[in-house]
Amino acid sequence: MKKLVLTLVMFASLFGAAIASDGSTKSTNVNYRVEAAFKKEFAGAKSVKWDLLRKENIYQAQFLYNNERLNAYFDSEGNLIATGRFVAIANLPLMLRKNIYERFNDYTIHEVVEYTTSNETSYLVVVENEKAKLVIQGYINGATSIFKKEKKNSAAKL
Amino acid sequence: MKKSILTWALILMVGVSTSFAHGIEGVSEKIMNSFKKEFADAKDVQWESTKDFAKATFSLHGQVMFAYYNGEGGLLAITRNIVASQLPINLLSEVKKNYSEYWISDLFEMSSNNETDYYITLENGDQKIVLKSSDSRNWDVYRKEKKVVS
Repeated sequence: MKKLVLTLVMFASLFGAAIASDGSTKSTNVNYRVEAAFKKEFAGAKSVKWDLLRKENIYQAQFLYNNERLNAYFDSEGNLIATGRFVAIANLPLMLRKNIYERFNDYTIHEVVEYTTSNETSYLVVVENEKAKLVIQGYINGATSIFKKEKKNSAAKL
Repeated sequence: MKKSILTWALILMVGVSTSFAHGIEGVSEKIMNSFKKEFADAKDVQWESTKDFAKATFSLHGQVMFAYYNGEGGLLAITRNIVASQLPINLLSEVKKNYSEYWISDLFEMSSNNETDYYITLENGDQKIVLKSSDSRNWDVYRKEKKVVS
């Protein structure tokens, strides 16, 4: 359950606020443990913006690292829980890409998020057609599951 | 058995191509059927084969891929060449951090038996290193060789 909550939180935040582009800013007070852990893990990171996801008590950092835009999530003890970033469709591991195209062949792929925890790397893939929008969670071995499904209002179409 | 299969796939990839026959003639019906079943949407398929193995080069959903088969039609491995930015973030970060003075001369992803591995060849003036990742998080040294200076 905790893993699912974290994935939902990360997914929501990645599709939410934009990254700061004018240097480091703090929109929340970051405790020293979290900041120290961040600096150790991501030495050289730039344009760091912090937020506290209050309900889950998770600190979110949005930043540039090695020219990549990343989000990182820490608990209040400074433990890195996960990182997330938007990636191109071409980044999908080949078996996962093949399976998504086959299993969801009547959908168009819109966005892909690479989600990394201490245990695994997975991908959240947003696909859409005229009837529904799905978020698929996929793994490097090609396995997929539907993480979120949103039906579209067919009455709105003429 | 698994290790030897993967080793064969790698040998095939790194260039036994001079001993391959080109074209569909040497490819058995078992292999063709297995390929068509697995890759129904494949386009621009080209075949190379030896007595015991066959390699298909094809495009699938806009991506060039390679599939290797044994004589029984068993799929040994699927591979594709990638660029560094297509690596999972942990692998990319480790290369940038620990091998910043090397250039990348080869990088590919290989899928076999439900596992995906990444192989990267890094070179500098003195040596050539091949790293392998089986967990998409950490690299291990697969092979290291010093360059011969003439």
